Amino acid sequence: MILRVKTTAEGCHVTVNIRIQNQTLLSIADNSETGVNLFPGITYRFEWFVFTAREAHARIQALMEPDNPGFPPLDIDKHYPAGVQDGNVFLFTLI
Amino acid sequence: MNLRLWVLIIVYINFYKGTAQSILKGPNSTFAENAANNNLRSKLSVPFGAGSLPNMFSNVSVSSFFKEGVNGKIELQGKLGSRFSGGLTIDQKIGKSTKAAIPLALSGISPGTTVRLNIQKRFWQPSFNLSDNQIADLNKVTNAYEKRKGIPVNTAGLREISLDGTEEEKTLAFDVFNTVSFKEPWIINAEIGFTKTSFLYATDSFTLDENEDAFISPAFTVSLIKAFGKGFRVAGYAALSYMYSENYIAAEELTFTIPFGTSTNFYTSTLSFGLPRRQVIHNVTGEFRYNILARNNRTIAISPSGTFAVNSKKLSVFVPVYFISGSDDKGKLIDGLQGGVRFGYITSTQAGKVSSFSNGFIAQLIISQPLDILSKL
Repeated sequence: MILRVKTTAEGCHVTVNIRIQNQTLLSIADNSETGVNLFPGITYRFEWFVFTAREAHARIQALMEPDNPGFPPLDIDKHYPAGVQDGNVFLFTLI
Repeated sequence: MNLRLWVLIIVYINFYKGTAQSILKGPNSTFAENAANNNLRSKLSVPFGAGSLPNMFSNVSVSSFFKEGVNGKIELQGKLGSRFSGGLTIDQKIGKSTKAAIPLALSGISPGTTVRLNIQKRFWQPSFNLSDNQIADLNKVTNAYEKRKGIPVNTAGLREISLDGTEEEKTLAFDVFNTVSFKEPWIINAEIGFTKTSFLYATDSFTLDENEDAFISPAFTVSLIKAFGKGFRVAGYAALSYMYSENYIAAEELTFTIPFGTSTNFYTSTLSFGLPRRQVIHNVTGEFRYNILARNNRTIAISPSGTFAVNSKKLSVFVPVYFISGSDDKGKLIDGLQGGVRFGYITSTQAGKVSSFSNGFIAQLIISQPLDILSKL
């Protein structure tokens, strides 16, 4: 099963990491689109970060191919003022 | 005209030519020293500090600029790859009566124009230092916040929780974000530029014929920058830069009083006597930019910088303080203007040549209007 991730960064920098504890499986930056092969029964981390240089728009889209209830389609779409940072992390396990 | 008079004229001309050239080449001339000072001033006396990192924040940098009698500037910045960005800047000095900047002509770049290309490489690998159990606890809090606010699951950022959550949620958001390693990027910025400068000068003191030459001089700057933050705010950056540049300096202007034909009237003509001099500059600059107060959308930022000019052994220190009115929720400046004051001091580092405070001190007011044209790119 493949997790597809797409990042859009306008006026900012975006990084998305897919990790298992301390190991990074995928790390993508601004305006990229890629995929990573994941397996059921394993708990992964989805980390995202935004760093703005000016008024900015950041978008992170991710979905599983094929669909998997362990990771419903994700669409993080945010506007930011200049000079801020943001991010978050969540766990997911494919079924 | 008899022979004696001719001899007197030739002796006078040679004496004058020798005197003029000794003025230009004399060991006591402060000409080169003034040029070195002017170079430091021109590099640092800009509204945006030492400018190690163009467009770091939209509210303390400018994208395009035009002012009669000063200069016109066009700057294009864009992303060249996921971790690369770059841009092109064209800057032209503008005459007092000029109403438009013409940086490019059919023969190439116009005299007085600088063309610069820059490229930035970013090193940034942030990651949360949390155990799976800690992340699971965080997810419970985040999902409860998202449900309460009607936000799709797993889409809330810690920053919005820190702004809009309960007191416990705010504290957790700050604590979790503070565990992030490599949170702010390192950036390497390299810039190469060329300036075309045109000169009018004379080399023959007998005929005073004017020559016109244009010179293209290169400049190269490389900077290492570390951004730093506080909580969810990007607080500023520290930078170390090295700059190599060449430029040409016009010889000192001399005023000649010349007979008008065979009449008893005279007229004066002022021109540079002697070839323009080539000057090579190696400067090392350290810069620190920090928003020292950011409250209720009002910011005071300082941007001290120090430059050591390797060739001329001069040291300059500039401390600009910006009073920024702040921005609205979309990052637009509230009143469209920013202002500040800049203090500077330039001195030689050679023994016995250190400038007194009154001689080396500079104080300037800064008022500028940032444009946000590039935010649309």
